[in-house]
Amino acid sequence: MAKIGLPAEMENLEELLDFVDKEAARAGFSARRVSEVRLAAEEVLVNIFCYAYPETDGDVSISCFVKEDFFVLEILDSGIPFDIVAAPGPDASSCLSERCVGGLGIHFVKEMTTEARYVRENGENRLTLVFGKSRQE
Amino acid sequence: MKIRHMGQKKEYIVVTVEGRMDAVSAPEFEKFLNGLIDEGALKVIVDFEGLDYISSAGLRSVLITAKKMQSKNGEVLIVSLHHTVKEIFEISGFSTIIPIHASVDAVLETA
Repeated sequence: MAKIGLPAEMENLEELLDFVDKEAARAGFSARRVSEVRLAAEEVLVNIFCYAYPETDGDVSISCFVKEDFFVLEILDSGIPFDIVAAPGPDASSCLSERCVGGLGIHFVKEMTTEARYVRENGENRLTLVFGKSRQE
Repeated sequence: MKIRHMGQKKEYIVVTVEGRMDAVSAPEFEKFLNGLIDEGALKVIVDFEGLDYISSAGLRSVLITAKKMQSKNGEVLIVSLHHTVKEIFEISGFSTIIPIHASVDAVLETA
């Protein structure tokens, strides 16, 4: 299992995502699928950077491993409770407002993953993202 | 991410964007386009031929830019979407909100 942990700040986004890219590529995913994994990770991370630690600073960690044909990311933060899986997606009707873009990131996470699981334990948000080799799996 | 001003073609200013538009680089895109709008640009083609990746942050910047242009009775056209970027525009429904065309030439032919 490979792991990375850094302060949950935008300046660390690239390093965290490059780590995810490298590990997904090592798991044998196509360049396209690696891009999709990176996208799901970015949406989760940016959410954590923006909302998890309103009063203080905090860290985020990403662990990843391969299980059978699936690539699994576990993203952990000790910020305020937030279940991204249960959050509503964007309004189905088309809209030109910035408000509707807010749910988009969550929508992408669900679209790009085979499965997304959230659990709150020991004061931490643990988000498990499971990726099959292609988006349809 | 690299943004390039490719000059004027007919009544359009053409801009190419290459690389990745994510939460870190999206503000740069917004700033660049805002600069064009402030200089009076009313018709801009944004060529995403070399764009490999876009996240919701990137889409937000594209939307904000398009809306700003619309408020001045101008327009931003997006061209040459492919791979993951095309997929993202379709999943988000943005392809129905912002005018998307196959290429710069396709826009100029009908201009």
